[in-house]
Amino acid sequence: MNWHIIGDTVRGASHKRSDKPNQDAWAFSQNDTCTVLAVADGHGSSKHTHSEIGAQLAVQVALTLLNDFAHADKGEDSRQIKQAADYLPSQIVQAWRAAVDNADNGATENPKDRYSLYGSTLIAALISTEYVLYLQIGDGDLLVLTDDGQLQHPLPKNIGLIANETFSLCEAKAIYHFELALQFFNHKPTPALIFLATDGYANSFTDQAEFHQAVEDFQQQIATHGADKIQHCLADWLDETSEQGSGDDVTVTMMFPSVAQEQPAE
Amino acid sequence: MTDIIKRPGGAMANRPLHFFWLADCSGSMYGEKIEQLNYAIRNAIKPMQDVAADNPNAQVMVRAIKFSTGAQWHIAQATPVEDFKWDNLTANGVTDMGLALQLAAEQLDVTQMPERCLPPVLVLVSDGQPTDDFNDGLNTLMNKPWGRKSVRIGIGIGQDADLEVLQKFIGNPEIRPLQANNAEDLVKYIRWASTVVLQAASAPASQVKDQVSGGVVPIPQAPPASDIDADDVW
Repeated sequence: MNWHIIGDTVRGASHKRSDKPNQDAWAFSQNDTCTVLAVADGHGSSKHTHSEIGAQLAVQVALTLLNDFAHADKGEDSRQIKQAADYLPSQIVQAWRAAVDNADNGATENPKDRYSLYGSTLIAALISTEYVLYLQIGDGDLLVLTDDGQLQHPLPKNIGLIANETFSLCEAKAIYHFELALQFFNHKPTPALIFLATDGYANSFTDQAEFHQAVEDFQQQIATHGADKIQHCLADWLDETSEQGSGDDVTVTMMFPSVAQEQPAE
Repeated sequence: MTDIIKRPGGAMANRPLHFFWLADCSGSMYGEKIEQLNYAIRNAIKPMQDVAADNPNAQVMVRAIKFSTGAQWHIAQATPVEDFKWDNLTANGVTDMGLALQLAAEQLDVTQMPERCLPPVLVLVSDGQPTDDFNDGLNTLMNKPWGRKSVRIGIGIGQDADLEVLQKFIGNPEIRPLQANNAEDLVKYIRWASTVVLQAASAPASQVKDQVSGGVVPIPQAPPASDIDADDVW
């Protein structure tokens, strides 16, 4: 199955006012074996002054490791794939730290301080012909629409994260704060749409129902107008969302089967 | 003709920020202290509205609790800061500070204050010592998720203010209680809480959960106390 991806990121309205950069990042990769999609949200407070770089490193690390994961020969055994997936959080944290060490280039002596400067969340999805894998550390949203129109949260919600608190790749115990789900298509149908967003998006809606409506609307509008048209509109919509809503950086990306798009009516 | 496609999603809104005054109206506040507190809060309304207007992504809502013998809402309805007005408080009775914290705690439940809210700000102003069970009130407050995550500022009025109790209320060693020993300092501190603290709370960056030692919102330094004649000290 071919997967189509659209997505964009915008600098938050409050970041424009305070002259801060966009500290979100997103990226995807596609090949014959798998499609990988990732978003990250750099923390942005005074303790995390290089978090926009940390977020970029996070999505790149996720693409590399999840792509490697999909390509590794695990003998087609679902149990072995599950066992290998359990190592992903520690592999991602290690690789992210190595990438930070490289980016920091010796500027910050204390490793704890160094990783904190680059602190970021991460959400990623990997889809292959046999399974889909979701993982997340920190805030943000990962939602899945099924063929029969159900909206699902494949990962458990972080309880007790309010007031802009988040888990982070920069924490000493980061690997314990990862959520991970692996779903095989012989047990579950393939998703109709996988939606990833940083928390600036959901925080812009009056409540969860209004946010969930957005995910359903995206699917409908892609089917009606075509993915290219929606991609074209996306940055303006996200700018409007940040201005009228949270003021935070906003990143939204989604993947869906290419067949989901119809030709837009002329 | 180019189609105009409706933006996906339902209604959007800026994020609510609930600001609470908790004002001591006990008998010891009678006279100049309560008059100056009324003046200081009224004087801070316009700067507070200006700060709020500078951040359209936060909707500041103000409420006030008065406590003396018992605790009551002075402004019960969460009032948009643009409409915030201050009716004078009067002083009489004892200092039931614990009851005031319990009253505030009732509004700091996630059922009253959804997760997308910004951290609430609680400013406690007192000239004395609690006469009721302060610890019980504080425990009730801190048992609420938004109570724990609130930004808490304590302002003591005069030499008899119990700064230890205010420090317990603040619950953050990086923020000390402010002691206003004269009218000028009270005006200054009330304005600082209404503007600088409000501004910090209205645009907080993400904080890593395990690294939050000094509260969810870093609070800038308060202004120094005035250097004035001993005759003007309360």
